[in-house]
Amino acid sequence: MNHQRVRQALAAPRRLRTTEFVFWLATIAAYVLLPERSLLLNETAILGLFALSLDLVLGIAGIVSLGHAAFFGLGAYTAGLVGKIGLTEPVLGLLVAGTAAGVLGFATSFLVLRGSDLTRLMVTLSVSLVMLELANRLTSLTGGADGLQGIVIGAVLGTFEFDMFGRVAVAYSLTVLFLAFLLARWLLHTPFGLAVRAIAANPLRSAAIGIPNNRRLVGIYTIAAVVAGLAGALLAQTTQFVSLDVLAFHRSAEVMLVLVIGGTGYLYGGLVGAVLFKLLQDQLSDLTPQYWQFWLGLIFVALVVVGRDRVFGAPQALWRRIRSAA
Amino acid sequence: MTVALETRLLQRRFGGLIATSDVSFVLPVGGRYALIGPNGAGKTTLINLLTGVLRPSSGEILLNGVDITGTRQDQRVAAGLVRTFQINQLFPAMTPLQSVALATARLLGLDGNLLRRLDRNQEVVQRSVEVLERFGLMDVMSQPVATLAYGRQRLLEIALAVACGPKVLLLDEPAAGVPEGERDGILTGLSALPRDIAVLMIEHDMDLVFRFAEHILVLAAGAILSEGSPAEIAADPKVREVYLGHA
Repeated sequence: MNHQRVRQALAAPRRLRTTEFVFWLATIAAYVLLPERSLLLNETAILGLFALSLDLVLGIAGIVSLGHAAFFGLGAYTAGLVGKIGLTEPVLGLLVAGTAAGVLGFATSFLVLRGSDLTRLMVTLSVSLVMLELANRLTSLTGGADGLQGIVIGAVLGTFEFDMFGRVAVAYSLTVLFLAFLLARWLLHTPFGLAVRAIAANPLRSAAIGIPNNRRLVGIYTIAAVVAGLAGALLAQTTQFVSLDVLAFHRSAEVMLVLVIGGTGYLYGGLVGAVLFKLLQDQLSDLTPQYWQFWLGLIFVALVVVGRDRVFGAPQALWRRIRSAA
Repeated sequence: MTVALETRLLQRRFGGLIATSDVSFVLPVGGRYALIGPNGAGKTTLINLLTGVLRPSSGEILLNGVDITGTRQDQRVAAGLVRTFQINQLFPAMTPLQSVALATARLLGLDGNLLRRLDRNQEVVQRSVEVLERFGLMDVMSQPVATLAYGRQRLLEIALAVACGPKVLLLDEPAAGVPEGERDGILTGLSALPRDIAVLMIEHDMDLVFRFAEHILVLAAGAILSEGSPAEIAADPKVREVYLGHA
C-alpha cells in the first residue's frame, strides 16, 4: 500500500494543473482574437522563450547570469547566416542555431562552475561582451554595425509561407515556445531535473549524496543555452534582420528583469513576466513615447516594494474567498 | 574480521598546525564505532579527510581495501562511503520522498537521466519506501522538508545517507540539537540499520555513545589517544583526564 502512495506522490508534481490549461488556452485565444497585435505577440513569445531559458539557469540551477544575451545573439546570427547562405527553411535554421548556442553554452559553462554569485555575474557578462565585440569586428560575416542583411526565410516546413501580417510568424514562434516549454517542464521532473534543483538548494549535501555537481550544472547550462539560441533564431527569422542589438547588455538585463517580475523557479515566471513587460511597454510607449522607460521602471520598483506575491496573490486569494463563500 | 574502512598514518597540516596527526584506525564490516574527543580535537577535520572535502598532507585512506585517498567526494559516495552532517544539510523546498528518491536514483546511476520517471521505477519506489519506513517518515513524506519538526529533519538527515546505500556510514553528531526526550527516536533508527553497514559515529552525548558503540576511538590534539570497548574507555585514566574531566 505504501508503494502505491509513494508512486502517486512521486508522480504528483508532474500532473498538469488547471491554471496551466488556462494559460495556454489564453495564449491561443490571444492569437485568434488579436490578429492586429501579431507583432507584439511575436515579440512576447520570443522574450518569454528567452526568459524560460534564463529560468533554467537562474531559477532551477541557481546560477546568476548577466550575459545570457551571448546565447540569444549567437542563435540570432547563426539563424540569419543559415538563411543568408540559401538554406531558407526556418526549422533547419532553428536547429542549427540551437546547436551553435549549445556548443557555446557547453564551452563557457566551465567558467561559471567556480566562484561566488559575483564572479558568475562578471564571467557571464564578460562572455557576452566578448561575443558582442566579435560580432562588431567580424563585419564580413555579421555586417558589423550595419547589421546582417539579406536574410531569406522560406516557408516553415516548406508549407507555411510567412505573410506580411505576421500571422504565420506568430504561430511559428508560439509553437516553438510551447514545444520548448513542454521539454523544460519534462526536464524539471526527470531525475536530472531533481538533481539540479538539489544542487541549487544545497550543493554541499548534493555532493554528499554522490551527485557530481559540476557535471549536472554543465548539463543544465548547455540546455539553457540551446533554448536561448532558439529564441534568438526566432527573432532573426521572423524579422529577417539581425543587428548587434541582439548581443547588447540591455538584453541580458531585460530578460533578468522579466524573469524576476514573473518569478523564478516554476517555469511560467518567464512567460508571465514577458506578457506583463511587453503589455506595459506597449501601453506606456503609446501614452508617453519619450518617457515610457521612466514609467516602466517606476512600476517595477513599486512592484518590488509592494511585493510580487501580494500583487499576483490578490486574485488568487479573491478566487479562494469566492469559492469558499459559494 | 573484514575491514570496511582503514586509515594509515593520516596527517593534515594547516600551516604550522597539525590538525590530524598520524591517525591509523580500522573499522570492520558491520562495526559500530564511535569517535569522541574534546572540542578542537580534530574530529571535523578527520571526517572531512575521510569524505574527500579535504586532502590529507600525507597518509592513506582505504575503503574495502581500495585506496581512495585521491578520489573525489562523489566517487567516494559511489564507492559506499557516505556521511551525515552535524548541522542539517537538507533540501528545504523538496519533500522527504523526493530527497530520498533522488539519493536512490543516484545510487542506481539515474541522477543524470533525462528520460526516466522515478515513479515508474520499481527499484526507486521499493528502496524509498524501505528507507522512509525505517526512519518513520512515511506520514510526512509529501511535506516540504522546511516545514518538518526538527527531530524529523534530523532523522531525514540520516535517512538521506542511508538511501545512498552506504557500506560505511559516518554520522557527525546525529543527536546534535535533538532534545533529550526525542533522542530515542534517533537511536531506534540507528539500531535498525542493516548489519552489513559499518558505522562510525562522532558524538558528544556520552549516553548515546555508550548505548550505541561497541568500540570507541578517542581523539585528542589530532591524534588517537586511546581506543577500546566502552568499558575500557570509561576506565582509562588518560581519557578521563582529557575528556571526561577530573572526577
